[in-house]
Parts: sequence; structure tokens; C-alpha cells
Amino acid sequence: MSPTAILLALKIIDLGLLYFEQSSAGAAKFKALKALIENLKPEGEQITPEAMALLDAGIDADLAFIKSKLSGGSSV
Amino acid sequence: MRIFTKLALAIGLALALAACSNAVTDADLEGLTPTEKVYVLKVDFKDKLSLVKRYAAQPPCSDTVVVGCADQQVLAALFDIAQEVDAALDTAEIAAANGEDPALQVALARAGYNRLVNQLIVQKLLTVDGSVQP
Repeated sequence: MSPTAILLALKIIDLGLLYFEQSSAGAAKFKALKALIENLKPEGEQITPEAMALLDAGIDADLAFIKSKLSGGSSV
Repeated sequence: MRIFTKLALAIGLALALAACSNAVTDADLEGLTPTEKVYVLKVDFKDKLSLVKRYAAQPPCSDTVVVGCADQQVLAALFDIAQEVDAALDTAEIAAANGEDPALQVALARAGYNRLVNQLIVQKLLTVDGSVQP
């Protein structure tokens, strides 16, 4: 077997393991977030439009910051 | 193709399939209202976006700075994916506000998350177990 074939085979195994571990972590985190939401319900709290707006504002600010770095507007 | 290569391909494929079956499905979001689904997705997106922001805050890569720097091409790719997710979340929010189940938009956003997470792992901002690199 050629070295290239061995390297290719090892790479495929490595990628398979990476996706497996990553999706497991993602699933756990997603379930934790769901639990967080469900825990809000017994307290009678709701996701208000204000909370959603605050989250949107944070996302917009982060995207604007990244964009400014891309345009070189405020290089470090 | 020799037997070892075939075996490795089979193992890789099996692991990839196992990963798919282990991925978050719509069933994980059952019991949540459309608005709550969008909120969960947004919180998760904000979490990932903060890592991209941290990457962007690094000095640009140059001939003299090669470690701990932000490659502008990588940053542009991360930004493009982030915008895709943002757009999917916007349309999901509109659908939720109209009383519809934003299943399609949620799926699009989740696909974007997966790509974003992959890139963050490659850039060593995120580990495969989901924890943030110091």
C-alpha cells in the first residue's frame, strides 16, 4: 500500500471522529439551551420582544465589528 | 484499492453516519413555541459570533505576525457564513411572528451553525467538545 493511500485512510478516520465528537457536543449544548427555555416557563416568564430586540442588537453589533475589521476601518 | 484502505473508508463512512444520527433534530426542539425556537437559535448564534468577533479583534496576519493573527480570507469566510445564519434567523423570526413553524429556516440556520462551528474548530477557537479555547 502506498503512503498516500495510508495517509488518505487515516485522514478519513480523523474526519469521521471529528464530526462525531463535534455533533455530540452540539447536541448537548442545544439540549441545555432548550432546558433553559423550559425552566423559564414555570416562573411565568416569557421571551419578550424587548429580550429578542436586545439579542438582535448584540448580534448586529458583533457583525458590524467584524465587518469593520474586514474593511480595515479600525485595524488593530 | 487494498483491503486496509477499504476498511478505513468504511470506518470513516460509518462514523460520519453515526455523527448524522447523533446530530440535533427537530425533535430536540419539540415543545417549544416558534418564537422560543428562534430565541434558542439566536442565543446559540450569538455565542458562536462572539468567537468570530474575538478572532477579528486579533491583529491582521502579516510577514512579521504569523501566530495569533486574523487571516483576512478566513475572516471573510466566517463573516459570509455568519451573514447567512443571520438572514436565516431573520426570516425564521418573521415566520414565527406570523404564527408559522419556521422549520425550514431553522434547518437553514442550523446548517450554517455547523459550518461556522467547523471553521471555529479549524481556527482553534473552539474545541471538538464544544468548549471555548482560552
